[in-house]
Amino acid sequence: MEISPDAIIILKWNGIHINATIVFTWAVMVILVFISWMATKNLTIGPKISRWQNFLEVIVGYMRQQVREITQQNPDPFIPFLGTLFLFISVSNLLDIIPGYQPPTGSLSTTSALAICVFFAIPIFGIAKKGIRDYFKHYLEPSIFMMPFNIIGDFSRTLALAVRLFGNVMSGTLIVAVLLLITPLFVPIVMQILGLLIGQIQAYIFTVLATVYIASATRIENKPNKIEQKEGSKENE
Amino acid sequence: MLIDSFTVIAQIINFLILIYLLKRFLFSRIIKIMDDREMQITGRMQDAEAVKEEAQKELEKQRRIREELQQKWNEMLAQAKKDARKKREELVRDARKKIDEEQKNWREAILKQQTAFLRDLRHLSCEQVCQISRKVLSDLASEKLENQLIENFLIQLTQLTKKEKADFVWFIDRDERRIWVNSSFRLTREKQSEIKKTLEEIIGDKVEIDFKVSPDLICGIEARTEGKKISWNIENYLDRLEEQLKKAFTELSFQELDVEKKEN
Repeated sequence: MEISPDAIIILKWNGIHINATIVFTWAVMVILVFISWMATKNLTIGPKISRWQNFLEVIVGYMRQQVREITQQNPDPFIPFLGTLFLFISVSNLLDIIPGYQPPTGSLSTTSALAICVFFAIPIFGIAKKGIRDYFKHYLEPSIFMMPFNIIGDFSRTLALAVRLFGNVMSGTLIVAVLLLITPLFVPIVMQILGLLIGQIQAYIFTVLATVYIASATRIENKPNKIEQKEGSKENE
Repeated sequence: MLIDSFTVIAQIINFLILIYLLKRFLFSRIIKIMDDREMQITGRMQDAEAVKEEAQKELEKQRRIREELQQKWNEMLAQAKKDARKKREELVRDARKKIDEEQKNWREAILKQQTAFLRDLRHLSCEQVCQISRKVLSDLASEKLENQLIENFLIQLTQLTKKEKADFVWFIDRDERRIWVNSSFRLTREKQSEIKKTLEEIIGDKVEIDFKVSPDLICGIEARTEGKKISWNIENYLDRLEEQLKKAFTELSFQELDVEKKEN
C-alpha cells in the first residue's frame, strides 16, 4: 500500500516520471479552469445572473471579505494567489469522494510545493508593499540577535504548513483504506464524510495562515502583537 | 522518500499556471463585474438621492406657495370683512339719517297741522266765547256785552298810570290831534261821546276821534295813536287760552312720540 500518490507512476519517459499526483493535479486544474471559463463567459451586471455566476460571486465575495478582515487592506492584489490556493486545495480534497481518485494534497511533494509558493509569496508581497529595506528590517526586530530565530521561524512555519496539510489528507485517505480492510460496510462512508469535512477545514486553514503571513509582511507597523498571537493560535491546530 | 523533487517542481509550475489561468478566467472577471455592479448601485443610489433631494426641494417650494396663497386668502378675507362692516355702517347711517329726516318732516307736518288747528280753534273759540259771553252777559245782567266791554275799556283808560298816559299823549300828532278808536261792533252815539269825553280827560285837550268797526278785533275795543294803542280785547284772554292749548298739544304730541318709541 502506498502512502503517497507520488509512488504511483503512470508514465515514464526519458527519465521523467509522470506520477498520479501530477495527473490528478492536472485533472483538478482542468475542472477549475473549465468551470471558471464557462461561468465567466456570459457575465452580466444586471439583476438577472446565471446560477454559476452567482455561485462564483458568492465564493469570491466571501474570499474578499475574509482577506479584507484579516489583512485590513484592499484584498484585490492578494485574491488571485490566495483564492487559487484555497480553490485548488478545496477541490482536490472534495474530489476524494470519487473512487480511485488520489488527492494531490495527500502528497508531501504537492503540499511542499504549495508551502514553497507561500514562502516566496510572503517576501514578494511584503517588498512590493513596503520596499526591500523596510521588509528586511523586520528580521532585526526586536533586536539584531533575534535575526536567526526570525529566519528559523519563517522556515519552520513553511514546513508546518506543508506537513499539516499532507498529514491530515494522507491520514484521512489512509484511515478509510484501513477501515475498508476491517469493516468494509458503512463505517468507511462515515469516515469518508468526515474526511471531506477535514479536507475543507484544511483548505481554509492553509489559506487563512497564508493570508496571515502575507498580512503580517505587508502590514505597516500596526498592532504587530495581535497578529503574532493570532498566528500562534492557528499554528497550534 | 516522501518528497520527490521532480514532483515538487512540477507542482510549483502547475500551481503557478493555475494561478495565471484562474486569475485570467475567474478572479479578474468576477471582481470586475462585482465592482462594476457596486459602482452601478452606488451611482443609482446617488441618482436616487439627488432625485429625492430635488423632490424635497419641490415639496418645500410647493409648501411655501401654498402658505403664501393661504396668507393672501386670509388677507383678502379680512379686507372683505372690513369692507362689509364699513358698508353696513354706511347703510345704517344712511337709514338712520333718512329716518331722522322723515321724523323731522313728520314733526314739521304735525306742527303745521297743530298750528293750523290752533288757528282755526282760536277763531272758533273766540267766536264761540264772544257769542257765549254776549249771551251770558245779556242773559244774566240784562245788558249788552258791548256795553260791558265799553265799560271795562273806560275803566282801563281811567286807571292808566301817569307814565302810560304821558306815553300815549306823546304819540298823538300835534297838528291833526287825531285818535282812532276801533271796535268789533258798532258804537252808539251815546257811547261814542262817552269814550270821547274820557279820552279828552286823559289827554287834557280836545281831540278828533275816528270811530271804526274792525272785525279783526273779534270782540273788543281799542284806542290808538300814531305809535301807541290802548285796548280792551277778548283777544287777551284768547291769547292765554291759545297758549294753554298749545302747551297741552305739545305735551300730548310728546307723549305720543314717547309711546311710539317704546313700542319700537
